[in-house]
Amino acid sequence: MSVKNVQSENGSGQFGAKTTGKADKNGYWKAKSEMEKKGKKFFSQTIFYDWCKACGICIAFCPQNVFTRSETGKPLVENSDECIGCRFCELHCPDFAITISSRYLDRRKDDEE
Amino acid sequence: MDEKFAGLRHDYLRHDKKFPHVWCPGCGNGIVLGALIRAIDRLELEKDELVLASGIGCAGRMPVYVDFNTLHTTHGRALTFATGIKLAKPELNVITVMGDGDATAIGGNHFIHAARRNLDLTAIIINNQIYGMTGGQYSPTTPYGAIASTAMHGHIEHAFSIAELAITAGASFVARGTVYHAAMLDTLLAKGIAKTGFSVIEVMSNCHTQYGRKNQMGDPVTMMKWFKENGVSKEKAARLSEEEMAGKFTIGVLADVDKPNYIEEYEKIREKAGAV
Repeated sequence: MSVKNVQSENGSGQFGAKTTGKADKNGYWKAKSEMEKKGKKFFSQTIFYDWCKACGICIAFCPQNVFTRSETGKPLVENSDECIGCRFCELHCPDFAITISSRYLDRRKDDEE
Repeated sequence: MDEKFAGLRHDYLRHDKKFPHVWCPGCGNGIVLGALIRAIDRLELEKDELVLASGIGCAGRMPVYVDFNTLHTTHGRALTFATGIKLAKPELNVITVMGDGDATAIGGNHFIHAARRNLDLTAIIINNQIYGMTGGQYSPTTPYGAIASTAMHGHIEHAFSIAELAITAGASFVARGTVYHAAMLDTLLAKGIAKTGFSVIEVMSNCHTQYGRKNQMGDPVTMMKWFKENGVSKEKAARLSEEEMAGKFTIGVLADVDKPNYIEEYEKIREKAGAV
């Protein structure tokens, strides 16, 4: 599945979905909304890169390996859907640079084809 | 842990100060500051009824970033200034933030006598086991055998246990937390601030820049893992033998006693003397 968060280190992390084909996209939303119906909760991870000092605590301690390390050592959100919302990173970020908030799948009409 | 924290830090931090803060990447002081903000929010205290006083050192920078009444005092004297504030305005909630060297070396006498006097103050002592800001000289809490810039071949003195010192000196509430156990730290700080009487919260924090780098723990992640492995809860510590506890430390509430505090007693004396 090739759905990824597109973000850059300029400013805060933007949440967006990048898809390759329509079939893929539909499959993704279907699978995820099934999971959501079964009670799976989704979270969005916003990183405020201006305050991040690349200490690596969030990357090292995340139980679900949501983050990967970028070239500068700052975290990139890799597996946003895996996040279980434990907020370890939010509590342990010494620079107040991470915000975890609940997310609902934002579905659009053209997703349901 | 709820969704509120993201908004909280914007309420309590002073955005006109330069952010990101001055501490090193991964420094535990930032985590303690976050925990303090959450604890204060949990107690629903007004910003105007709080005073945060600090001494000198890395921890001394903390009041700069928060939007309470703040005071940045001379080295080791955070508690003396706080005593003055509390006696002049007993309705204020006075919290002091000190480093380990600030509290137990330079201000050591003030610390034990503030604990003995049992004035209603909260002392948060951030113990990073070294003088971090000045270049890594050994402090009263540097463990035996550790390397510091003034103990190149291993430290030959033995460390203070700040929490035990505070219990012996007569503090009403003594707790120890670590920056790894941040959610627990919220609770400990909230309990300490709510307690009437002198409360001491020792927070084991990481100074990977000065302490860790010389002691094979050169990054914050390794130091946090060290806290995770060596911080033992009070209940578990009771089950472990002395050999198993070697090098480890207990975390949690270590002492919680109720005794008459200074303000109450002082009011009684004023009444007896006919001043009220």
